[in-house]
Amino acid sequence: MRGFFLKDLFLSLLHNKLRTLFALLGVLFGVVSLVLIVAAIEGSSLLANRVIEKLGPDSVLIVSGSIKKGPRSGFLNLTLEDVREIGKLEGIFALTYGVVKPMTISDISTSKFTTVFGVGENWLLSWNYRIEAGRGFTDSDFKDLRKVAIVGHDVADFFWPGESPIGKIILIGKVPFKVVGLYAKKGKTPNGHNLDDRVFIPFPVFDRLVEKTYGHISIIRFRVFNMAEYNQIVKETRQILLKHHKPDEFMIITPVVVKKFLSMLSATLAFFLGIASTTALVVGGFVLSSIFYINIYVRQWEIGLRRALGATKREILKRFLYEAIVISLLASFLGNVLGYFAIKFVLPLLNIPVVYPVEAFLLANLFTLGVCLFAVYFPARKASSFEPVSALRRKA
Amino acid sequence: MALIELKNIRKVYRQGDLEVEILKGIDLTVERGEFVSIVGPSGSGKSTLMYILGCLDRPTSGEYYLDGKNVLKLPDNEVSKLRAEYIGFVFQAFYLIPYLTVLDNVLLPVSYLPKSERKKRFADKSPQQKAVELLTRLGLRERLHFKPEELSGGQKQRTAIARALINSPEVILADEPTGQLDSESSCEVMKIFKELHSEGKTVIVVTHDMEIAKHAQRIVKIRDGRVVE
Repeated sequence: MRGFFLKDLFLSLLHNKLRTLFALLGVLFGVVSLVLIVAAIEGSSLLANRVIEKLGPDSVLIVSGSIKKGPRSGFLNLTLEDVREIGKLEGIFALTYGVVKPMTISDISTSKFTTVFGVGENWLLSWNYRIEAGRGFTDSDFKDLRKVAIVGHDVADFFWPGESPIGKIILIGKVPFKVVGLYAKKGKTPNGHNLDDRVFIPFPVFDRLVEKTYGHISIIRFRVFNMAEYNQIVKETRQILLKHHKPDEFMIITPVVVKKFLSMLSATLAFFLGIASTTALVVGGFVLSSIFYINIYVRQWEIGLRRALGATKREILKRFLYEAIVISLLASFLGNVLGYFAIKFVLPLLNIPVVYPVEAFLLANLFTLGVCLFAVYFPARKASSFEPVSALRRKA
Repeated sequence: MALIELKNIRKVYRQGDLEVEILKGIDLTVERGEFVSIVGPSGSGKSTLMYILGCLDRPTSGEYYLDGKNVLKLPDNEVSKLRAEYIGFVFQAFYLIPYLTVLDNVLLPVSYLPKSERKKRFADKSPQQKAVELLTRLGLRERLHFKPEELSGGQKQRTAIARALINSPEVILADEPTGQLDSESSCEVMKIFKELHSEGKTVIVVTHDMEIAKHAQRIVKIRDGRVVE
């Protein structure tokens, strides 16, 4: 008779199409938003981890500007003097510095807008750039102010497609530079900056021939040998910088700061989505409950009949709860499908990596089941308590 | 032992401050295999009596023995199972479930029969087989997979009778079974009840129509909540 019970149940749900549909829709949006919110939060923390990974967990990055004004590589608040003083700290390595200038470079026939970096020694080492062809910078490049450049794949492929860029000449500003190296592809940063569309030249050359900065720079970076000393070194670095700078002229970016900043973003997101999804589910629950209340009164004679045929109160209650379970399972299934697409298309718009959190799907489904059972329990209990005689007299 | 024994059944309804006594002490005994009709004008309390007989309503006071069981002392869930086992209802308004086919409507009471009883009663034939047999006998062989809305009134009532018979109950309890039927269908339905009676079933028909009541073996007249004959 189990087969008959299910048949009876599904036919009843099908017969009350509109009721089933509205009940379904009410819960459906709750499921979708719930899945989306968890995916967004997980994606954001993944993003934070990726940024930290790229940054290097042992690294300290100092940039011009402040959190309030926004860190800008265009500001040139830092100086070579700062670099020299930081260099005196113990327990650090791969100390480097640089300036960034988005500008147009050209060869004889074409030109391209790209980002030119005037960099210190160790830059390529410190940021993990691997030389694929040609060579890296040498000490004499810096001492003798050689006009040499190391380029990324996007630059090389633009000017000399299919050819080796080594030995070619490009014009940066009006100055010709000789390409001596090509670095291996690095892809994009988690924020979407293209790491392969860059040109590196020695800082002293940049300062003399491309743009006078008079020893001012926008980025200082180094790494720490022993993570136990990390916080102490960051503290000392700050003291050194405060000797010559106001607190809002620079910002020390550490993995902790990155995490704080990104989690602040994701917390805001989680808050709004959280409100949306909770509201959706609660409203869905109310809708479900009211629809069932109306429905049990419409079907009162049917409940009376089933009682007359021998159904106990429990069996009536069970029947409505099963209807709720079927609606909840349907909503869960559709919600998961819709949630999948929502994650796939909405998260990229928010610059959040796409993740499909399995636990979130499971949690959302369980939560939905709970809401459905809770919402339907009260009308179901009401239905089971109908007096068979008066229920039978209410034939629709 | 009588199948049904009612002793001094009283039923009082409360309407605000007003107490209305619908049944004023009814004594009634129905033996196995009897065909009884309960007749009375509307408001006489015959419907209330039939709901009490069907274990759907409880009297305010009195005693009710069904097959020796003291119905009024049993908890609600056991009374529900008693209905599934002992009573087959036939209603004036048919009460067929609109989304189930004729066959499934007939099968519905089987799902409310306790498992042990189900095994016992359907040991020889499956519920489906028995339903098809009943419907064939009642001339609905061609209508097995029709929905109730596709049936005529007489066909609907015959479906309801098949539903009342599926669990092989002791008693068929019919409440104005011909109330919504034309005279031809009415005759047909009463003929079926007579046949069931001749096969040994206990049949109780509640009606206001003396012509219908005359089909029965015994007529119980009710007026103002009392048995008058």
